[in-house]
Amino acid sequence: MLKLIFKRLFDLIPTLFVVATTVFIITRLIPGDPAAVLLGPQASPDEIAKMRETLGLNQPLYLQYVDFLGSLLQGDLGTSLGYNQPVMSLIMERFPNTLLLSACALALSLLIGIPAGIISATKQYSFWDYTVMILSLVGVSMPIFWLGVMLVLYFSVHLGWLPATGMGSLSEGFGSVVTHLILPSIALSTIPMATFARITRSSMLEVIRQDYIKTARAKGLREFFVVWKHALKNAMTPLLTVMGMQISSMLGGAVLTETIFSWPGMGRLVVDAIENRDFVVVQGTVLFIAVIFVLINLLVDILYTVVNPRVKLTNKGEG
Amino acid sequence: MRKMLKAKALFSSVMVVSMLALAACGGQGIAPAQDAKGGDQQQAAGQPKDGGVLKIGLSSTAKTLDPIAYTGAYESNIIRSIGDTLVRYTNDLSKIEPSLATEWKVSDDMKVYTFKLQDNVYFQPGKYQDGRKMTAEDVKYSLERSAKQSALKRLRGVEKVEVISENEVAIHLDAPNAALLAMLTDGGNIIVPREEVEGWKDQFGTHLVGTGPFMIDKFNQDDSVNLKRSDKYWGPKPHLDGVEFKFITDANMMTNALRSGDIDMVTDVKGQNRAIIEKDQNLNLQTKPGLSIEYMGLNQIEGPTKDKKVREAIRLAVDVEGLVKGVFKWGGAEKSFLPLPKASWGYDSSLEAAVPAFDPQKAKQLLAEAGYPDGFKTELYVIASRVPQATIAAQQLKDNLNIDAEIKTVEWGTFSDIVAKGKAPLYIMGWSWYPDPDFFLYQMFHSKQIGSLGNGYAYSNPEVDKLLERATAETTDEAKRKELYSQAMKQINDDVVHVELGLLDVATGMKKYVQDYQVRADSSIFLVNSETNVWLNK
Repeated sequence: MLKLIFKRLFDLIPTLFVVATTVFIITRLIPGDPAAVLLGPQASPDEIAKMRETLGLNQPLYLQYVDFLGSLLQGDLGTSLGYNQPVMSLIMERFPNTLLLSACALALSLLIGIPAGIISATKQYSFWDYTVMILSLVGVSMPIFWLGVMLVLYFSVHLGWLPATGMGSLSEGFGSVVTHLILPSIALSTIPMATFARITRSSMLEVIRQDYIKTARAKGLREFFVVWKHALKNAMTPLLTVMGMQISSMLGGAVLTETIFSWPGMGRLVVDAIENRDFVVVQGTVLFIAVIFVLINLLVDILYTVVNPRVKLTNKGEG
Repeated sequence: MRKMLKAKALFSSVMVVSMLALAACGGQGIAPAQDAKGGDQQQAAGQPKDGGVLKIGLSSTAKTLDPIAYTGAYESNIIRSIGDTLVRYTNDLSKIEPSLATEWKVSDDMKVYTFKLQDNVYFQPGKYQDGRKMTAEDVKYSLERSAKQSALKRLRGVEKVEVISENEVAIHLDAPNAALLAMLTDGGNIIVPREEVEGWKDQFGTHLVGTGPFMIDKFNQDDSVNLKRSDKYWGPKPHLDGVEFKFITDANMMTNALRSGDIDMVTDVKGQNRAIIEKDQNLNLQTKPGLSIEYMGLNQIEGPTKDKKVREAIRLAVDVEGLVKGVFKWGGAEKSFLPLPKASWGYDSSLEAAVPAFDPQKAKQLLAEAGYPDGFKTELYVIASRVPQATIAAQQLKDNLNIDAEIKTVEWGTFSDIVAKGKAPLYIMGWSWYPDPDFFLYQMFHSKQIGSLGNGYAYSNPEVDKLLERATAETTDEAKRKELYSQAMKQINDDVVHVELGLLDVATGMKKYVQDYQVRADSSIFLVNSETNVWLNK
């Protein structure tokens, strides 16, 4: 098992190489000169030329690429053009914030989504089933930025219960961070929550009709055990697949959520960097997210084997 | 079937409930719009109170506060509270007054400016010095650093700074320049202690130390900057205990944060948010015509607009008043006539009459004379935030001249690249800088600026070049300089380089308890100086 995990980690290298190259090319293909953006509207052509030199932008592209790969091999993501700081330290300052937000949103979506899906499945065609299904339909189709603004309008502006933006700080007490966390977590959790509810429902419906569930019921097991122990465990496999995908797309959703709620995470960093043509930060952050994406997928593959012992990790990484 | 109906009924009730919730949020307290002015408020509220932290929302994330490295206006707004410049514009921008310098004189050849410095100025204590006295050496160090290293060249044409005595410095220029004082008011030219700069190196941007009313307490990357009152400040004692600048990049969320009380003040309020703030009983919206103008640039050397008749036709075919009303339906701009904002002392309203009014008939005739009776195809470049302007302008050109102007929406980096290289046939952009006309007219119309964004239409007229040069090299007398700029603007107007569009307001929204804040046309934020000392009435 351990050997296989290492093998899979090793397989990461070509993937990341492709990602790195793609990102490098795309960031250079977008028209627009970082030096001009950095210097603002009032810069003269001379100043722009000088800045290009300072930033190493006047070198031929292949040299820039070789430089980029060379430093990447040493774990160096480069220095931001705008912040004038190593990209790795910029990411590391913000990653915990994104992680906190994503983890809360994930917890929220699992804690509500899965039970809702189970209720929906066990009480098929009931009032509760319809409610969950309609709400989840609304949930998956709701744009994050719209929901975010609505939540703030209601809970911050109208009721005045929760802060609208920012992250608060631990120096103002733990509560400050918690209150700041609530609205963005809800906004970010809606789509995965709805997806989990729908997947749990359909997966459970399939399992519940199977013979071994009937057997369990016939044995006289309490319904609670039948559902939560026997049915859910087998319904978990498709849920895990979706979970892996949702966690990854949550990183994308975090970009939006962080922008709306002024949450100081990686999402804002990358949006800001794109606007300012700080392509060193863009490529560093995208690479970082790619690594996380691949690692999460690996983790999901490992979890499959835990949930369903019939699944084995194979050399080909078919999971 | 019954089940489906049930489901439908449930769905519609969910929708109704959510709409009601939204309606409840939108329809909060309606009060008559207020046209507030800082001074009136203060008198109404009585004696200033000490204490409290003012929270200000900024629309972009401040990356660095290092005076030579920062690039955004939002960053300079934080710097203003931490550091001081030698001289400063009064709040109404009518004149330049002493700040760290008490007086100054200009040599006859206008190449040496000598400043006397205040004797009682101390730096805020930092890691590398304990709050020592500011000297002429610090002025020399800071200004030479700016002149040589400033990313945005915030101090141009300085040859050297000479220390004459402990309290006296002379700035030597490589050419006469009447606009030097205006440059010295820039936040990039605040005086900083060398030890801190050299000690912090790349980190100085988040550990700025100056001589101002507030000092950095905490710099929270991407989130906020906390300032606390500096006890060493040489000016009036600040009423506020501190200031917090919070970065909120989404304009609607900024307004929400103001309404919910997350912040006390927001600058740069635009669009519908103006109406929302005006309606809210707890908020004030203070507005003032600003130093920002918008215009359509017409390429002078390529495409059909090379022909002056075509440019004239385009100018006559754009109903600017209609455009400004359409784009700024919630207010925030007025029709602009000249390539210079009204808040600049160089503005000459007598020139307004020479700007031709909207006349589609004559426009059509001119275009036919130029050889395009059926119009032509062209491209109009804009950034996303100016698409409304472009849409209306393109529609008017289509209706009145049958010109098909394809709107090319690009983001800032691309826009500045294409425009600076003279590749945009038509483009709409804005310009904003110091009130000294040099920073508008020289930048936008001198032939030396061809290749930079200011003169992206490649305008060149030797006569205008000469007038613009004389205006900074011949005299520091404002009246005489104004006369030269008027002549230049007259010629520029005749040559048809721009279609002037809107003159933009500076609009600041704030809680009613914020007292004695004065909105400035240059949109910079000064909380404590000889004219103002902001306090909270709560």
